[in-house]
Amino acid sequence: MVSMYLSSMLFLLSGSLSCLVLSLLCLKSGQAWFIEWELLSLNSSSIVMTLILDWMSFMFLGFVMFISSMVLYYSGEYMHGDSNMNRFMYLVLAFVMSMGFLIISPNLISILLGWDGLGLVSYALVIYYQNEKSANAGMLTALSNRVGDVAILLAISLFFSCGGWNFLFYVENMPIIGSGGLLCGLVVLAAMTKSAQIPFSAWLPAAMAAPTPVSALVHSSTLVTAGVYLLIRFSPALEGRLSQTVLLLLSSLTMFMAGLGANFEYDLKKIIALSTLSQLGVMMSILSLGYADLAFFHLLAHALFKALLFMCAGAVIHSVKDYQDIRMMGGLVYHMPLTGMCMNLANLALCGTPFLAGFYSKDMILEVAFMSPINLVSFLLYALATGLTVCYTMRLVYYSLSGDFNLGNLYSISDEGKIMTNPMMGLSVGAVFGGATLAWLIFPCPYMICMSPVFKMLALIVSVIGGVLGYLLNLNAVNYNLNSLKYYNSVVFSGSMWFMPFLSTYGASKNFLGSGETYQSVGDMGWSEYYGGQGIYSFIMSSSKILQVFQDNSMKIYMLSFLLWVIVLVFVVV
Amino acid sequence: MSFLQTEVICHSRKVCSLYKRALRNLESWYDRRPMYRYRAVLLRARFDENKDVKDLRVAQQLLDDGEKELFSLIQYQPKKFPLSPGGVAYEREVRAPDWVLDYWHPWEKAFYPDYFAKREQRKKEYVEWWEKTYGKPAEQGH
Amino acid sequence: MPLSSSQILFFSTLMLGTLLSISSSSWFGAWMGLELNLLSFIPLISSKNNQYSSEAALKYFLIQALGSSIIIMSASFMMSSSELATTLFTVALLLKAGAAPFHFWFPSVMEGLQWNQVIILMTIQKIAPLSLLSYLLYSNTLYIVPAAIITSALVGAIGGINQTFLRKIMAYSSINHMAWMMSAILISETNWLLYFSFYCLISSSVAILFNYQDVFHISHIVNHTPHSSHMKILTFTSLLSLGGLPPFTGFIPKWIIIQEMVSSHMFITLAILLASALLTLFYYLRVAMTALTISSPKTKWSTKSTISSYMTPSMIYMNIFGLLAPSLFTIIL
Repeated sequence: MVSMYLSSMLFLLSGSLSCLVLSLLCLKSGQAWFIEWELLSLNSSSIVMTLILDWMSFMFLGFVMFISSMVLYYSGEYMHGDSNMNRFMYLVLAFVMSMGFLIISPNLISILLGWDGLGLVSYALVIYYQNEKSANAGMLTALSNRVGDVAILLAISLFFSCGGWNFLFYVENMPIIGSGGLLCGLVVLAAMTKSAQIPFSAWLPAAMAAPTPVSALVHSSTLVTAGVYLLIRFSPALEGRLSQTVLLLLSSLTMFMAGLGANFEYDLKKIIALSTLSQLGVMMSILSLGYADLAFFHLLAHALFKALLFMCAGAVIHSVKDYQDIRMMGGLVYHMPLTGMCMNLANLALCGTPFLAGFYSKDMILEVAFMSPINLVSFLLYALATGLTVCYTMRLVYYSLSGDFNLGNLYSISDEGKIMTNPMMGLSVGAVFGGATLAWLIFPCPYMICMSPVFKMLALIVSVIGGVLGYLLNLNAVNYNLNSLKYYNSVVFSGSMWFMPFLSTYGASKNFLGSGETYQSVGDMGWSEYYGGQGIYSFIMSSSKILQVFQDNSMKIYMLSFLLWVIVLVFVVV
Repeated sequence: MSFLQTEVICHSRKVCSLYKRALRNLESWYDRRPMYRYRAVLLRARFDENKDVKDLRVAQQLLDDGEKELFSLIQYQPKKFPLSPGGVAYEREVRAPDWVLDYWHPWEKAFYPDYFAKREQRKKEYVEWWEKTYGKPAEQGH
Repeated sequence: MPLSSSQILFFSTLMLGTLLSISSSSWFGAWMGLELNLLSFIPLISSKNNQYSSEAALKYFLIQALGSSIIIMSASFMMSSSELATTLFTVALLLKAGAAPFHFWFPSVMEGLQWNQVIILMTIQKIAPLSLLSYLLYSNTLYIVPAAIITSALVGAIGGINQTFLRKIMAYSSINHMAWMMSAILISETNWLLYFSFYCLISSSVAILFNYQDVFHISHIVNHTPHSSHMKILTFTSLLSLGGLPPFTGFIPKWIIIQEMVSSHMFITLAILLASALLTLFYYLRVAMTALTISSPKTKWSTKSTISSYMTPSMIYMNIFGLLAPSLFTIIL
């Protein structure tokens, strides 16, 4: 019997290859297929299932399938011995399917099939482990994404005025449509929830409760990029709108917040999740500057090395007995050189080291951003976030790969698991060559970048400074005082993602639960009980008791009372 | 039930508890072993300084101050063992207890006739063994 | 229970008295019929030689005699002041019918009766006073009857809440229904006849079923479960029908009265009647609920353990055929 991880890997890999070949063909010929299937027609607006097959969707699809094939193969060992292995595989396949539907539907209604599918399946994947942590994380994930789903639904209702939901046709001339601004705002809101931009950031690190292969596929390269992808398709409509400005500020802030937070984070997976968040901020911000192609480029390149990074993290976690705390790691490069190499490669690609995958996209994004007329805040956030990226990367390297060995005496750390290391090698190829290949393929003509030497060197300078700081700040001798304790408040603030998890969980439910409790005690169990059921009941019971007292008299009294009535009536009438 | 104190906890136990929590907190902050050991010695010295305090009012004051200091320096991400409560892998593997099988519907049991026949047999043998070892349970009165 | 020859005799004179009083053209004749009716009901009450029935008989006799004497007295006022006479007639008839505020005798008499006598008291004994009342409705007595309606509704509803004896519950329910019947009288004679006939059917079906199971107390109903769910469902269908719950017969006359009262603008009275109907439904439900939901071991010996074949169809007929009734009324009205 062929194992499921092997068969799915083969299936997805062949799908990926064919998609990539088709993508090349489309690129070469400039062709795009557009398939519509009309479901029903409503007041002259037809609801259609639309598929767009152009180089962009083919390429994204190819990358998604490639990464998922690697991840599924990898989970063959990572999830080995799990009692629900097949469920896991099916869920991941369902996830890939939803992602595919999302990629190829440029229609606001049919995209919901993929969009909601992603939300549902990612929920099922986050709660795959059935402990309380996962349940909480899953609920946070699902509900945060639900905000975006609602935004899409509202956008659908606004789109009715266009007479169709194929937004691809309408994005170019969105400005002339009434309520176009609101519509763009809603779509941006949806994308922000999916891509975990700032008010909705809390779910992405929380979703790390999922198994690591899921994090590698879902929370680094596919699900979170769905929002970016939607906006890439939508970008012409955003030109010069308020929502674009807001998006620029929020995404730069996300980039900075995540970069800063990653420097104070101790959970290996959460560090990588925060770095994903930071890179999503980069994509969103360049997108809101109007360079959708650069955002797409970075999306693909980032997907490659981030999946690799997560897989390395998974290999590490797998061998250090489920510890995710980097304080328990260290010196791992001596024990698992191959994984260490891959991890370093992914880290360097993330930092934008020249000629690795991240370099081509990130450097270009930074230079284009520095060249465009952006405000000082965004500029500073860009520069700082770039430095912070290298800073937390160096910290991660210092803590996990080099330094002292911190795990207990009993350990079995090794690279021997071929099923885990093979897909890592596959993705490493992507992390090395992906950037250059993509840069040659998808840009028909090179970007013209013209800037002063200081600005040209700025990215490199902040990176070097960040890297040096990251290493130096974490160096310690026995008698050093910990400076974190001196700046306790700011450290806690940065290390807790600016308290956003509290805002999204406690903050969102506090008022409603509180007022619910008040209404419960004042209304349901208070006044409405007093003037409702219990009050009426006790009133009736007491009056019934009074009647009973009358009833318990002797017959003489009844007759006397009757006679009294008679006499009274006689006097009244006469 | 944390709000309900069901036993009297003596002062020394409170101090020990504070010491342990303070050590764990130090461990979370000073993540390299030698640094942590150095700080732990310093912490121990601070505790030892006041170990001979006989006046309970002073001792109580010291304890309260210690609790306050610990609270003001608590790690935002304390180190946790993965399989302990609060750890990342806590309750990750759900193992259904054995007696769940007894509550299967007969139709469900019918899928695995051999297993359940053997299971019933084993249960009977266990009861026999129990009764032989410990005697019959007393008759329940009404 | 086979009837003895004396019972047959008294029963026929009882009916004769009722007929005499409702068909006589003078108040003297009406009084005579009422007396005949009263005197033949006394031996029917005291058919059992025990304390309860003789107490009930005595109480009944005293009250009815008082009422009759007021009637015969006010009949003599007829010549001088017809206004006073009708007022006194009204009051006396209210006393005889057991409507509030002269209802006090009614529950205590009911308490001492057997179920079959309860049926007579709740149905036949109401015919004469209420028909006489319906003859009386000149404009100057109109303020007494609405007052009696409101008090009867409230007393019937509130008084029954605290009761655990089934016969007393039936008594209060009867008082409450009296309020509905008097409102029907205020509207038209046809309405009254309709309501009264339905009321007779439903209340006697409830009483027959209680009689059949030998229950006199709520706890008897709870404990008394040998007849299976079959009997229970019959009993509570009848009870809910008595409360006027829509799918059952009891709802139909209430519906008609409500509609008629709305069209004759008696809103305040109607509101009170409806509220009180809710309360009566509450205590019927309290009887039904415990018996339907709680299963408890039987503690009381039942002398009647089988259900006769005619019982089920007739009870179901009585309590469900109301569904067909509206079409019936299109013919009558």
